[in-house]
Amino acid sequence: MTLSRDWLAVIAAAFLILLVKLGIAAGIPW
Amino acid sequence: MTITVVPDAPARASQARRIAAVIPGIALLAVVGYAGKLAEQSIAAYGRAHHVTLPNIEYVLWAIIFGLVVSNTTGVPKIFDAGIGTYEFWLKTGIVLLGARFLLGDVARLGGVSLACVVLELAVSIAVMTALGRAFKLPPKLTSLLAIGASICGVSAIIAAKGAIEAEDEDTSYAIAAILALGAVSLFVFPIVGHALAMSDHAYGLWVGLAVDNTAEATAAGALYSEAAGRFAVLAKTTRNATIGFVVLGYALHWVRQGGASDITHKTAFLWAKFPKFVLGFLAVSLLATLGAFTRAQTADIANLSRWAFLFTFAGIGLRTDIRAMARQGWRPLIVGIAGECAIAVLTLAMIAGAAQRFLD
Repeated sequence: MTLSRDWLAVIAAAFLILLVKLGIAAGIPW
Repeated sequence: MTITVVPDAPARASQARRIAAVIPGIALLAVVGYAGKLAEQSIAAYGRAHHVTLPNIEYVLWAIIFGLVVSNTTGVPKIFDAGIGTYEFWLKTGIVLLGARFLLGDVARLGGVSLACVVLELAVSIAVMTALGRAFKLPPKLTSLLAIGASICGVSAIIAAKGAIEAEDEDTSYAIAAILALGAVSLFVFPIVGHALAMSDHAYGLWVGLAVDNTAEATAAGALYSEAAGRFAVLAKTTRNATIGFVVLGYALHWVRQGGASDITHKTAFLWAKFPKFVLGFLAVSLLATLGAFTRAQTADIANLSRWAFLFTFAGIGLRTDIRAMARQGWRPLIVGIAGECAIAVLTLAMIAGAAQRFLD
């Protein structure tokens, strides 16, 4: 089964949020 | 008995090839997007150092312009195509992450206002596009595609509808080219009109979210005005996107009755298949934010991640806009598109002016 780009985007965002929550990604600059 | 699922070697190799194929294009998106950000910062720094007031041109516009210049002068070599195509993935990831900046109450309130406007906007744009398509004697299915593109969400709606109403490839590329050309124009026109009318971030964001067809361009046109306007534009546009299944289903059933498409047996399954799933992600993240799952610093981090994702998207908008290809599509669909979009933009503006007094600010 291939995932649609929509679900991939949701998974990618969830992964990034997890990194932020766990403190692995902190102080992201802009 | 134990069953282990091991992908065979060719499958693994093709997966690796697919991943490798997108890397050059993603790198190009990063370079063009970052160049846009550097341009904004350097111009501001120059102005500060020399005590001159320079117009603040957002990185959004720089990224799009740099992309446009590359794609329409030197052209983009084929090796970058697959990676540039990922711009939509970055857009959706950015929208899901943006959910952290919205409390669910605001989503419900603004989403409600948006939804009411969306229903009116749908009716108006479908009526306008259908009338114009008939007046200019466009093929009926092309008119349907333009109406769907103008009423909901540009390219993805057209692609969703293409299969459902069994439209010709040529009509589909016409409709997509027209919607993209108009999206590119709206990037420059909407902020000027917004500033001229001194619109609030709320009102402007809602207007852009309702009137600009493609999600990427709506996000960009909103962000060009202000960051808050960008957020409202995304929310209004996301609401509009959520209606995609219903409109496409309506059109599909219309063409079934005309005998021009095969019937749809499972309507709920059809609606679910066409529903943009990233909207669910956006709502889930917004729910987490509402429940207080993120500290202030974490919210800032997530918002910055969303900005980076949008940066890739804006670079992609410029890079995949081929002005020559659009010129080749002919003028009639374009005139229908332009006339229709102008009418929709004016009507939605009037609607926002009415809504702004009651519900916004």
